[in-house]
Amino acid sequence: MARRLLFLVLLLSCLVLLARVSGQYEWRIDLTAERIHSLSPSAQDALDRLGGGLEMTVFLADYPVQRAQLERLLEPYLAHPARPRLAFVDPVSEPDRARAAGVTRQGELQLEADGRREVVARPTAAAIDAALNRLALRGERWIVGFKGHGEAEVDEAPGGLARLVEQVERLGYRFVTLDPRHLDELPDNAAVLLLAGPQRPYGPAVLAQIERFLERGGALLWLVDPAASGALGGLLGIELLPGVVVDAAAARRGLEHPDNAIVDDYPVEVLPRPPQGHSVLHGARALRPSDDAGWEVVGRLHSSPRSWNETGALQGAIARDPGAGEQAGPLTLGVVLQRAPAGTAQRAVAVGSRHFVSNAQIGQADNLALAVGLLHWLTDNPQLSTPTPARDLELRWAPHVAGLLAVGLMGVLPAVYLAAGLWLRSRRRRA
Amino acid sequence: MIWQIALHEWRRLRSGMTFWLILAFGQLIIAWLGFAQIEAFAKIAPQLKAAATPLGAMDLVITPTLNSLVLLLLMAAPLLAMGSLAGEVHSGRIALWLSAPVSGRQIVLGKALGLWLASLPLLLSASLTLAALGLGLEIDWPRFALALGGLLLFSLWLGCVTLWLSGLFDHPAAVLAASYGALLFLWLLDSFSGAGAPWYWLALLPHVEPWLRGLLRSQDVLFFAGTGAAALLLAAFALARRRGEL
Repeated sequence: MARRLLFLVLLLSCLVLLARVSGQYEWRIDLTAERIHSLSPSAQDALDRLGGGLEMTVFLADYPVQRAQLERLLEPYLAHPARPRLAFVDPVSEPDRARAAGVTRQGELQLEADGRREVVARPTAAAIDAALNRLALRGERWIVGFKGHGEAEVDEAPGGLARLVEQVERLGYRFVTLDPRHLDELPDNAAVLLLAGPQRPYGPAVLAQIERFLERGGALLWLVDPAASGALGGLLGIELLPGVVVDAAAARRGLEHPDNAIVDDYPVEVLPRPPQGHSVLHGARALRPSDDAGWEVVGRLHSSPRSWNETGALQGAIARDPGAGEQAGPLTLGVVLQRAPAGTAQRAVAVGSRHFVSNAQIGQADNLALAVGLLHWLTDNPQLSTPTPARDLELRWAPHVAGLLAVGLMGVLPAVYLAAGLWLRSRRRRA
Repeated sequence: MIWQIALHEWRRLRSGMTFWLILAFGQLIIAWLGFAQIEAFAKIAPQLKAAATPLGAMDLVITPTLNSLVLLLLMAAPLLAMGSLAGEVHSGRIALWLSAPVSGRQIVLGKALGLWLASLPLLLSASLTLAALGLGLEIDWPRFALALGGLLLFSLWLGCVTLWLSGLFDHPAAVLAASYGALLFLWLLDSFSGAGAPWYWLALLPHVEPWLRGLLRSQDVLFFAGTGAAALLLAAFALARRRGEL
């Protein structure tokens, strides 16, 4: 009896010791392809940008386990060379400090740098990364979109911009639409002017507003629609080639319609962290920047060599007709411009398609990453990461393959197992 | 001798219909769940891309199906193990085992290994099913391999624990009830109490989940190795008591 008890007590003691030691001294290996358990690239970029002034404050009562869990969550951030500082504040014993900080719940994390603050109500890696990116965003954050001339609106329609706006606001930008006919000047704190494919040309007064905005250092993102391209093109020294860009590379990407131009090469001067995949520009027009418009071309977005600007109907078999002014690719689909007259840096981007940022297409390929990357460059935040969706969001099923697999794995294989069992049983009974 | 006992146990289980029924229905359930997950995933994939979400096929198709496989193994292990020692006692064959020139440790190790061999076909069939989904999905193979390795260790652990419970009772039905009760309790333990509770370390889900999410942690390996070894020691202890050695 005594031996049994001793054995059980020793065994239990070993288990308790194992539990304590394994919890205290732990090693871990992140085997995921995207390194989701390690510091994300966007967090690294944001911490690089913030430098050494980041303060992290967690408002949490003296609960050792919860504090240890948060310390573990914040460990990769604290190990970054920027060496952010972490402090715990007990709202119970320091209520005045918590009240002054505007704390609303236990466990709230506040990040402070350069006099700005971001609050993470429920600390998770994704929420902390987003807060760091918002904190690292420099300069003015307002994006002003024009309306009243047939531009794409911020709504949920397939051609709307609601999803783009939602994404950029999550990154710390703010978006507002204004009718330039009711304005004398664009707001002083506007960083970027977005012209989302105006269908009607702007009048001289509006064009003058745009020019004055550029002159005082504002940035312009013009999503081209041929209806109103004349004067704007003149402002930036950009001419549109006739027709719509068709791209044979679209078929390889599983796109049925040929009027989807594929961009898979990005200018690193503009996008130092380019999208990892391709972007799809639907219904795009090819652009030809002028050399003597006073703008310097910093980068271009090109279609594939198997593209051309089709001037005929997009039906049936189509082929390039040089006689109709159809030029072989690669064609310029986007132009990144800058100039600095009188010492004020001016930036502009023209993209030959207004559709690639629409609700229907922003989620296609790496369109969102391209759009955000261009915005980061325009606001002089090129080092910030662009939101990249998971790499495994593509479904490559051919219907007949999926059907065969389903029948095989759900029907044939279980039937084979059952049959094997019945056969073995009958064989045993006969024996 | 351990390996011979293991093969004997494996043949005993394989010759019964329970094994084949578990295999057939387990395969059907896993395949059906996998395809159901893919169907749901296909509908929301464009919205996920537009939202630049970090969740992809691994998180929304493969990992939930592997979670279901863990539960299936939890259900299957007691069914396979209930006759392991309790069945021998109930049929009277235990006297043969106890009088054989084989130590209790060898019997226990051999039977645990045999139970593990019996769970391998379900595990491998389900894993191949999910790997076949890679024809249409981008699978993170290192993460998938880690999940498979974790499930192999988990199924060995299940064999050890259910074997120990089989040694405590004289009737297979009692083993089944005790095993389901104990394993389900451990599976749900983390939801009964917070992370600060002293028994939280015994909860199964916090040790299994990191593997399925691609994170290899030393404390999870030590948990299964340590508690599995403890279960085997206790099973050998129970056998030694039946022999009158203790």
